[in-house]
Parts: sequence; C-alpha cells; structure tokens
Amino acid sequence: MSDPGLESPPYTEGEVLLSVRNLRTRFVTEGGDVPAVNGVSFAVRRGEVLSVVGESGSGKSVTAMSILGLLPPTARIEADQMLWRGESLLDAGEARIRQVRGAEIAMIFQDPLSALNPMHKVGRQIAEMILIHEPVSKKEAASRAVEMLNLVGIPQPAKRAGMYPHEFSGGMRQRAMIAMAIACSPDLLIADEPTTALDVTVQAQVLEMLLRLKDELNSALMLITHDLGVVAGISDRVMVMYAGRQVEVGTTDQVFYRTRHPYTRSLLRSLPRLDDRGTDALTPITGAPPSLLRLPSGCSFHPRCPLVKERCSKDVPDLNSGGLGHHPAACFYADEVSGDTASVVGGRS
Amino acid sequence: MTAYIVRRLVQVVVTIFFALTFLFLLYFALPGDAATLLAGGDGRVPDPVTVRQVQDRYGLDDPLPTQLASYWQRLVQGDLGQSYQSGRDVTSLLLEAAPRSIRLSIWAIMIEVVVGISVGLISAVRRSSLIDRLSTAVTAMASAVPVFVLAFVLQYLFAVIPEDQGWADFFRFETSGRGDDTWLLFFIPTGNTWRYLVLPAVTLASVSAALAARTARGSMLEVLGADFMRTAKAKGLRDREVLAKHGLRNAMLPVVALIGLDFGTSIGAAVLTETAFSWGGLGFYIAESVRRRDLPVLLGFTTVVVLAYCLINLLVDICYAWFDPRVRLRAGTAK
Repeated sequence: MSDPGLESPPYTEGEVLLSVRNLRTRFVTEGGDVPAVNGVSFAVRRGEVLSVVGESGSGKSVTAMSILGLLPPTARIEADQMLWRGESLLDAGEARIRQVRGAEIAMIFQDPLSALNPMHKVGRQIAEMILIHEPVSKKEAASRAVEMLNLVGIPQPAKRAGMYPHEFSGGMRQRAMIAMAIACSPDLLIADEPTTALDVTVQAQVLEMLLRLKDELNSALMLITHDLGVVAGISDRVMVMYAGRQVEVGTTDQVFYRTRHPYTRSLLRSLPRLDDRGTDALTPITGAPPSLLRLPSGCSFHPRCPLVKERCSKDVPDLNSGGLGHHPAACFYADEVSGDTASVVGGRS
Repeated sequence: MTAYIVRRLVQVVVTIFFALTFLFLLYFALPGDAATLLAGGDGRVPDPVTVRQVQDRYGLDDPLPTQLASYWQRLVQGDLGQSYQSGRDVTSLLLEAAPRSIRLSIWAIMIEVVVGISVGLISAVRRSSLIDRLSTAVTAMASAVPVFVLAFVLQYLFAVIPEDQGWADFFRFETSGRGDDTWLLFFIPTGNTWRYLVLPAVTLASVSAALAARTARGSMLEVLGADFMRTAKAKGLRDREVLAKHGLRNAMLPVVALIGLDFGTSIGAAVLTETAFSWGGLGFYIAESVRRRDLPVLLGFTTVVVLAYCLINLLVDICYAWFDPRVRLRAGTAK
C-alpha cells in the first residue's frame, strides 16, 4: 500500500534517518482510550528540517515522544514500522533505546525552566549527558560542558556552568538546553516548541542557532511548533496535523503557496501578514479543536471547515484523498482550496 | 548566611520571651492556688498561717508584674528555681529528663524518616498498586487516631495480649517505665531497655510518620510528572537513575519542610506519649507540673522545649537552603 506521508517528495537526497509508518498512540484513561496519534507516517532525512505543525492537542508532541518512548505509562504506542537508520525501534531493547536517547536522537523541550532540573548546576546537567554516553572522566565531561555552553553563545561559559537554571535568563536557559541536546552530536534533533517560551527577538536567535548547529553536526531537525511564522522561515518540509491525523504534507513552498487542505488555509489566514496595511481583520478558525475522546464522524475538521460538504461527515479522508499529481492532503475537495495564502511567508527568506 | 543565622537567633530570643510571659500569665488563670497547694497539697484545707508563710517565702502575694519581673531576673542569671513539689533544682530535673526525651525523639524521628519517607516514595512510584492503596489507608488512619488512643491500643495488642496468652518473651513489650535504662552511645538501648522503648517510640512516630509518608507520596508524584524528569529520561538515563538522581532531591523538599513544622506537633504528642508510657521525659514532667501547679518546673521545661523548637526550625531552614539552591540565593541576598 502506498503511504503518501512516508513517500512525500523528499527535499534532500540525504540518508533516511527516521521512517515511521502508521504510528498510532493512544492513552488509556478511565474515560476510555484517547487516540492522540492516529495513523501518522513520515520520514526524516539527514540535513533537512521537518516541521510538524498543529494546534495544542493535535498530536504533534505525542508523535515525537512516541519515537523515544518518553510518554507516561498510560500510553500505548503501535506502529507498522518505526525505523531508526534501518533499525526497528519497536523491536529494540530498553538498553538500545537508552543509547538512542540523547546520543542519536536528542530532544529540546518547550519550557527550559521546568525542563532543566532546578537542583543541579547547568554545567552538571550538560556533563551528565556526556557521561551517560561516552567513556570520559567527570573532569573531561565538565570541560566539554563548558565548551558546549560556549558553542551556543553563552558568555563566560565557565562561570555560567557553575550556576543554576534559575540564575539564567529564558533565552540562556534554552541555549543551555540546546547545548545539552547537542553534547553527544546526535543525528536527529527533535525540538518541541523550542521558542514558545521566549521573547520574539530571542526566538529568532535560537532558531538561527538550531539551523547552524544542524548543519555543523550534519544532522536533521524535527521542529514541532504551532507557529507558522517560525515554520516558514526555517523548514524544508512541513507536516500539518489535526486531531491526531496528518492533514497535509509537503515542502514548505507547497504547503504555504499551494495549500491543499482547508485547515492549513485557515491556519495561514489566522496569521498576521507582513504586508497587511491593517485594513483586513484576521480570520480566526471558528470553533475549538475536537475532544479526542469524541472525534466527529468523517473528517475530524468538518464541523469547523468553511468548505464542508455532505461527504465530509461520512467518510474519513486520508492523505490519498486529495488526488494524485499533487502533494498529499487529506481532503476530498483539495482542488477547491485556494492557494491565496502566500504573503504570509515573510519571516526569513 | 551568618547575618541570616544571627537574625534568626534574635527571633528565637523574642519567641522565648513571649512564650514564657504568656505561659506565666496563663498559669495564674488556672483554677487552684499555688500557695494552697504548697501549704497543704491536694484535697486538704491547709492552715491559713502556713499559707501566709508560703506566700511570703515564694513572693506569691506580690503583684503579678513584680513576680514576672523577678522570674525573668533569675532566669537571665540561669536560675530556673526549685520545684514546688519536690524542692529539687529545676535545672537538675531538666538534666535528668532531657536525655530521656531526646533518646525517645531520636528513635521516633528515625522511624518517621525511614518508614514514613520510604513508604511514601514506594507508594508514589507504585501508584495505584496494592501497596499504595494499603499505605494510603494505613496512613490516613494513623494521622486520624489520637496519640493517647493509639498508645493504649498498642499497649493492649503488644503487651497485654502477649502477657495473657503467655507468648514467648521475645514478643512481649513493656508499657511503662524505662526498664534497665542503660544505653550505648547515648541512644542505643542495651539490656531489656528496648522492650520499653519500642511502643512509645512507635506511638510518638506514628502521626509524624503518616504525615511524612503522605507528603513524600504527594511530592514524589508531582516530581514524577515534572518536565525535568522527562528531560533526564530523554538523556538516556535508566528509570532508576532518573528517580535517584533527579527525582529524590526535588521530592524531599516538602518533606524536609514538614519535618520541621511537625516538630511542634511532636512536642504535643510527646507530652501524651511520655505520660501514657510513664517515660519520665520532658513531656511527662510538663504534664505533671501542670497537674500539680508546679510553676518553676512548667516554665523551666517549657523554656527548653521552646528553645529546642526554635533551634530545630532554624536547622531545618538551613537544611532546606542546602537542599534547594533557589532558597540559598534568597538567604544570601537578604542581609
């Protein structure tokens, strides 16, 4: 069976690092099973930036956490395939997964204040990463930690390494978090909303640094965000998620300029535009994301969709439904979605 | 840090001043008159001449402020006075009773820390398991049952029943007194002393241990869901290492705070426990002195307890700062 998510046009010719087919993650709760991720397929190649976009609860973070098994014990993760550089992570033992965590796939979390241990000095937290994966002495690891802080542009790194997270500013904390993530030169960096907790000016610096480090490490970056402005500036490919499903997958240009899903279009229209003279009001998406416990019938987006038709509440569209000859979109009426969204892409070019 | 400690010590002095003054005044609000008790004792009508003599001798007919002032004057010079009842120096009574209380407390705190914290941590890590449910029920019960009830229940179960049933000596505990009262390295019971120690120590520890267990469980559960625990796991640490290296210290903070706060409660519990088991420590004497209207003993013993309470709280705060770097900064800047 063809899987358009997995086979969506590659942006680079790099090695396929991660390939996930039909990932299904649900949480077992007293109120019933919550299908947080429902049949998601994608691949990440060396050198590229893949952005995963969606509102809160769309399953984008859960997708990332499922790969590394970082979800709470109530989560049940199933997939047809989850290959890390050709090796199945689903069949890998706990010891092997631990090797992958940090050393091969490293994560950067959203809120660096709560993601760093408040009781440990920053240098120690970075050194710990190195000590877990490499046979070095504590002293060596400590000096590597200082090097890493220097690499991410923290002034006076030796002094800073001896300080606690609460003594850092928000931007510096996120840099420290990044320093920790890259300490073992991972092949894939997964950044979960890395700039959400930061000031706009600091956001740009952090994103730029992530891109630079990705190139220096010759790795790939999977960027999870709800901020399309961030996506436009730095990603090669975009995967849009809604209520646990992929709704559109393509290169950044395809998704932004030739949008083929009504949800993506609504997201783009709800953004302020750089060329806006202030005359047009922003168009919010009406309604709220559905409860995962009671998903709407048919296409999950149909109650909020401006293009909704009769079929939408009956059949569930998949990425093939948009028709052949275009980038994949999970909409029966993809051809009717206008691409009038281009001017948003002004972030960085 | 030094400035912080000095400031706290000044607070201790102020606290003791108010505590003692309050207690002093409270004493005279109690029914019963010290002079009458001293002249004749319980239940008898003493000779009025004797009562007058007693009043003169102890200054009991002076106005209250004068009595209070002269008490303070003597206290500052280190004179705690003599017991109305036995005529013994309060200081020598204190020196006799304090070690007994300290020994009992050491064991109670050890039980609290070891049993309370480990039960709490285990139920947090094994959440919703049988162990968790059981410990939640037991700790709820332990914190609800009054100390004196628990004392008598334990006495019945572990001393009276074994005696009646003629169980082997090993299972018999004692309900009253201190036995040989011999100790190695101050706190390790030797001879038959441990038979007398077990029940009061468990009784005294019960409420605190239950609270410590519940607090440890709650804070560990919170820490288990914390973002930095996920970060630690994402680094590639084993679950065990994540718990030990990142979870434990964070989870211990509220427990350390609780143990400090709880010390006040334990003093109350100690009065009841020591009375129920006739342990002869500070709490026992405080209860006795109230009953016998023995003001010098009451005030002298209370001074020591208040002092201990303040110093232990200070110690706990210092521990807290040592545990949590975020507190350290605040203590350092508050000069």
